Amino acid sequence: MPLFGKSQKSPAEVVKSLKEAVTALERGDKKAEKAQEDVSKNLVLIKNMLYGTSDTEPQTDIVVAQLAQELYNSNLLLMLIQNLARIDFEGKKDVAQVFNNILRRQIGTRSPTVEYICTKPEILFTLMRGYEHQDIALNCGTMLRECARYEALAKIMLYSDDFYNFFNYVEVSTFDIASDAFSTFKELLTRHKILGAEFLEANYDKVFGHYQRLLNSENYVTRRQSLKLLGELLLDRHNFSVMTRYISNPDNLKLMMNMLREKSRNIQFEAFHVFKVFVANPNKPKPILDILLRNQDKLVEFLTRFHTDRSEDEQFNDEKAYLIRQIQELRAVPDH
Amino acid sequence: MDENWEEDSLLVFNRVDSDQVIYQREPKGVKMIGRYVVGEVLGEGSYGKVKEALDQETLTRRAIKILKRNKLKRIPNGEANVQREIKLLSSLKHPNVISLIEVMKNDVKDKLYMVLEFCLSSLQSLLDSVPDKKLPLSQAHYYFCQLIDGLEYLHSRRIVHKDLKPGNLLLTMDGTLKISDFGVAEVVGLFDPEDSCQDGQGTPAFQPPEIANGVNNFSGFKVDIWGSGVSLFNMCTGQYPFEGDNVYRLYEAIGRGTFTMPSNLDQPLADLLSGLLCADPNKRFNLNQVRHHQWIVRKLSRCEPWVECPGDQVHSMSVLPYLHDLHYGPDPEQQDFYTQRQINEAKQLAEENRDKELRNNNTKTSCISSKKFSSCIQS
Repeated sequence: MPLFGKSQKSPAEVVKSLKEAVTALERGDKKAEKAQEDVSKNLVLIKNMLYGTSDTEPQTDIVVAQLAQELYNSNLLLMLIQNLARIDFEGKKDVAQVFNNILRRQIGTRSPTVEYICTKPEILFTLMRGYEHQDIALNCGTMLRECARYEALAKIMLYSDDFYNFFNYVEVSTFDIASDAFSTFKELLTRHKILGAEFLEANYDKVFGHYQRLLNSENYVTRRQSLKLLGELLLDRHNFSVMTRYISNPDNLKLMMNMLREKSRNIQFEAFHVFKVFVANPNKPKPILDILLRNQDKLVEFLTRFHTDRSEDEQFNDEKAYLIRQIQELRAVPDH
Repeated sequence: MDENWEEDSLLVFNRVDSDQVIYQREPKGVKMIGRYVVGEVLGEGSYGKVKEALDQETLTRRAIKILKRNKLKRIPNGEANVQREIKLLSSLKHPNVISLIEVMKNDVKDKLYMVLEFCLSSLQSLLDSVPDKKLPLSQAHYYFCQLIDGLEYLHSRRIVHKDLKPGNLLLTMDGTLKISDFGVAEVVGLFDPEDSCQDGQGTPAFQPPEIANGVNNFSGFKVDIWGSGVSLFNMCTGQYPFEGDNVYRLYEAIGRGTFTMPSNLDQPLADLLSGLLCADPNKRFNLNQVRHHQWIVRKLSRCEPWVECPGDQVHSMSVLPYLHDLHYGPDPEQQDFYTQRQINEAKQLAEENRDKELRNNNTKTSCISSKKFSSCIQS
């Protein structure tokens, strides 16, 4: 207990005054400046309860449990995120820190905040839409990726309609926002292997329909990143059936063959790693085989001259030699 | 040559006093492999040695596995296994899988150098360093979860490790577990719908019943699940689920597939172990089931102190004296040859000095030391 000054506020009191301040901020009347100050002040108090300061320890588990309970009951997590744009710079960072700490809370095998957010998915959707606002996009990104670590929350986001907005977010003109959105997008698809595979299988047409746009994007970074992720997804054992489906579609093969001839060497190289799967497939469907046969000589010649300066990369050279041999040995299947 | 003379000379013994024997100073001279300054031996295997090293350009600690061609030739599949390991490792990138930094060759000496991430010890040496050969449950949990993360990555890349055991799980300074030794690993074909493997070359005590019973085709991924199960059992109990006086007895025991669960294990752990060590590979847990198991999901309280990596408390770098030699050259005061008498004198002098220092309560330690292996990692 401090000798002078007010004794520490209880979790209930801090949450109550923070809620009042956020409500005032939301109304946006004349006292907005004062409200913003109050919000920041109370956020610091909550943050110190969770993390401690240079001279105080974090609060005991009981106080943290009370705080979490108050946050759930007051619906404050959602309100903070909805009003994030109105909170000052430091306050935005504090919201993310408080949110992530409360999210990670665990009692035995249970994660109470994860369970709470499952009942209030609006929190996730609001966070995802945060990518539409430049001044809060990155704060929302850190919270979203923390959420994506939990399978239950990742599942809600993947199966929501809002997920498809990511195909726009990853292409926005602000580079740091686009790449932040891309890493969240990738995390959602790759973090939980079985969940990701089931999602891609169940929504194959819709997802890859949208994905095509990324591969054809005007933006070089988007094209390169999405091509690299496509390679990773297809070569992941968990996505076996997605891969077999992808490599039976001749349009996909045509796209990869075009990307092999892109100006950028990096894109050529990434495209090679997807293209090789089409060729290595021992059960090539007729349309795929036809395209390869039609271009047999050209492909052999092209591949022989393809990235010859990578002499150090043994694996690449082995794969290239294998592909060339495979293409040379291709024979048309006689029609019966 | 005169035979008599030779016979006579055999009978002549020249007496030499021990203090007249001239020794040559042990060369502590610096040795470089590429841009690495080489330190002391970290471990030794049938293929050669592993030595500590320091990357001169990045000042990073590394381990260099030195493989001698003639030794490799004596091991069945030796060269092929190394080749496969190099090919596999160079395509992998995950925090829980050992990374191969680079490979160098010395054709004159017929040696191959694999530069790897530096690790303090293996899980096996950690277990061996304590009397009851087991870890506190929270520590076992911490390592097992990392093993599962690394294993999920390997399986997603279609790699079956086939030799998971505490001896192949290395620990870094910050407590990260690294799966290592891909000598007998196998890659499942990109288009194989099943993950079937044909032969098991791993360590007998960690092999599953299907291999012990000599089944021709078995699921590779489930072999690794079993290996991780035996490792977890070993970490938590200090024992092995199956034992035998020789490989035949051992395989007999494993083949029967029944083992006694120690009664002092709590229910969730016993349940996880019986899922991992299920004799029927089809009913054995898959990684997804392991991930969601309540023993994995729950947070364990750290009541017992964790076992620390064996060896010198500060894990100081053995490259230092060599580095000194590299930059300051050999000490000109030091003679290259000296006799037993000189050694005795030097020893006596050193002892006197030490006594003096102890009296002054002035114990010097090395001025440069690496970070202590932290025992307070957040679980």
